[in-house]
Amino acid sequence: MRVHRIYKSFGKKNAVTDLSLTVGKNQSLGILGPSGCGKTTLLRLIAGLEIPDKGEIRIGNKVVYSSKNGKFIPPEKRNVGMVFQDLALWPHMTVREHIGFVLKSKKIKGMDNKKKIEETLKLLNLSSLSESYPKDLSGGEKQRVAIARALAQKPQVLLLDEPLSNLDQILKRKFKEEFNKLRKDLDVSTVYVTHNFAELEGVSENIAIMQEGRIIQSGKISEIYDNPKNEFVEKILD
Amino acid sequence: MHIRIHSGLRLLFKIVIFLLFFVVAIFPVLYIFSSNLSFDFFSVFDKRVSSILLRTILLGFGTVALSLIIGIPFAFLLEYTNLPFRSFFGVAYLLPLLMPPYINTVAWLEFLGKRGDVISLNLPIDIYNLYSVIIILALSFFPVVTLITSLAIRNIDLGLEDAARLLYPQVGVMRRVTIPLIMPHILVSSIFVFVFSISEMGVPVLLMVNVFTSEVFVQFSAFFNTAGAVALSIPLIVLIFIIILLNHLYLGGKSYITISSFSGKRRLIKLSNLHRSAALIYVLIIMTFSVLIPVSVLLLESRFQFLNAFSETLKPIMYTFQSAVLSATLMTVLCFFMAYFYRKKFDPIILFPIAVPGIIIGIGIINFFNVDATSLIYNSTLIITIGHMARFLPFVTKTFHPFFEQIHPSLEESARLTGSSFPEIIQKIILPLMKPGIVSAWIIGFVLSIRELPVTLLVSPPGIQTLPVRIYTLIHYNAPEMVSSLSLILIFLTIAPIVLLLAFNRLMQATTAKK
Repeated sequence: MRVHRIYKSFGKKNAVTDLSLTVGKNQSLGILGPSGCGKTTLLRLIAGLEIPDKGEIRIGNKVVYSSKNGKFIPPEKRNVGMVFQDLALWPHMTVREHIGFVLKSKKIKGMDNKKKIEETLKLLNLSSLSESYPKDLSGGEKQRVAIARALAQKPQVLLLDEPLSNLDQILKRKFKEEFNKLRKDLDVSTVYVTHNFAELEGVSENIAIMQEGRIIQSGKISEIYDNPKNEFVEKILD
Repeated sequence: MHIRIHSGLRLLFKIVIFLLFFVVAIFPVLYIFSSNLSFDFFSVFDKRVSSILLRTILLGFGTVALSLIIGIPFAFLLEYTNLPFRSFFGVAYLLPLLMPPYINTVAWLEFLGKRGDVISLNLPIDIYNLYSVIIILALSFFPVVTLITSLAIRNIDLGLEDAARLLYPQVGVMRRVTIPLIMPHILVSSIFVFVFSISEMGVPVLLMVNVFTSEVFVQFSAFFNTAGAVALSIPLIVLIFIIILLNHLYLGGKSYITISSFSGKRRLIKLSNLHRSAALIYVLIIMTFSVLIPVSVLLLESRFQFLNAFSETLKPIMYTFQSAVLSATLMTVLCFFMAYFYRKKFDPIILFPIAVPGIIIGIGIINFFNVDATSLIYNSTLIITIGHMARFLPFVTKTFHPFFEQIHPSLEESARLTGSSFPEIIQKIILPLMKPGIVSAWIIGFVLSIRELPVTLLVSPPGIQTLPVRIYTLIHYNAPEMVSSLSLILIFLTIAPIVLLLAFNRLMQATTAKK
């Protein structure tokens, strides 16, 4: 997946400015930045929930947005999975219905559909909760449903927006283990956004530091850690 | 010691509020029912009753269906699209609610040449039937659907739609996520419209359609048959209660609307020029039929004599305005505390008067207050206010409920821990937070009260007439010029204070923001 020189402003406020990044197949890129730096907007641009003002976005070999030739592929045709910051589980659907709803959008029906639902439920250890509604789930369980929903469609790109913000330390550690295991099985490029450096350790090989809509430094975690570009980077890695 | 005194005061106050509510809204009706239960009670029930029942149900469901057909697309256009003049229509769609349905009926009768002499279209359209009643009522009540649907859409967590948007096109998202999420609210609005339409008396009486309200009215006013009127109202009450009960069963804890954590604004769908024009035409047609035609007909038929009419009718106008202001204010105060102390605890009792036809409430008030002890009240305009309160207290209380639900108990508890007294808590914490609720409740109380017809018709003391009663009487004398003028004045009297109140409210907000 490749984002090339995109811009996005809301009124007078520039949310994303001249931003480029590349995430290889099966790679995970962590984006680190304080709240309000444009991280969420970046994810929404990749997903197609917002339209950039300028630039180009590619997913696989497909151009999904290009300002040059006015191309815009709507979100439902991008095959992007996303875990939202507040999870955004549908209150009127059970866990099983969440997965079924995703598969239905990909026109997977009948026996195939049933099998896939069971598979996904099992993958995220949700089989026993399949008939529960979100309001009856704990924080960690909701988390797993949100991830199951994002993965059920076998996305090419997985976007995670502060996925651990509502979890305690133990659950956070558990999530990392599970997530790394999942990632090995699924060919997916991941963009993981957070304001907390600790969350990225052991999950993302590469990170990018974002400030006021721009990426100010990127590279391997160890490289940046050893060689912070400025005080801002130093502080956010602390 | 300090705390105990105040909690004692609080308890006393709580009981007084309940008693007041009970005496005004519940007791007169219970009294009339208990004193009219006799052996020949059911003598009025004959074959006609089943046809009246059927017609009433048709009227209710028909009006609900048409209101949904008009009101839901209107709400979606307002909330989701770049409809031309969107912010204007976002306010203007509420206008039909401010025009009493019986006045719209008069306007349509004049328009079609059945009444009046300025417009002589004489269209061969038969308006004296059930369908006309349904259409007129739906054109009056669809804003209830639009309002509740809009508010529900505005309060959906945007993330829920976004999550589905990754999988489905916009229309699919609306069908599979938005509509199921706002369904409980659409249902609530349907119940409001249902109850409003089957308890409306003026329109079916004017269009000579026999439904329960008009039949109850005939029983009482033509045959002075109180027992008959009371008996006839029972199926209506049972019907409304069934609907309210079904609603409670279905909703039981089902409210999906949460205060959104993602405070973004919904990105409006940019319609193509063709779709945009179609949307504009749709909205314009609805506004034309619900507001433009009735108001212009009234203007023409009044021969622009409303200033004369105003000076001739100054006294009823004053009564109407005074009693509406007084009723709205008293109802706001009483219902504020009723909702504050009891929340939804007494919902079935509180909702009871909603199901009772205005005529029956009027009869109840007369019987209950026409005794020596209360003759002073009975012979003054105060009785009109009491009648209005008896009919509308449930509506105003219901208005407060959602506002109180948004105030977390911890706000009050923390104040109590610091030793604040009950009056202090009300004054410093609850009142400021409840300001929007109080304004809404007052407006609803005012609008309902100023146009009230059936109760006022019965309880008005001799020599005192309100504007709706005067209009109603004049309709029977066929005085189109005067009827139209007074109708316009009534509409103006309804709108003007609301505009002033909202403007004042905005001004206050602006000045406090400056500080």
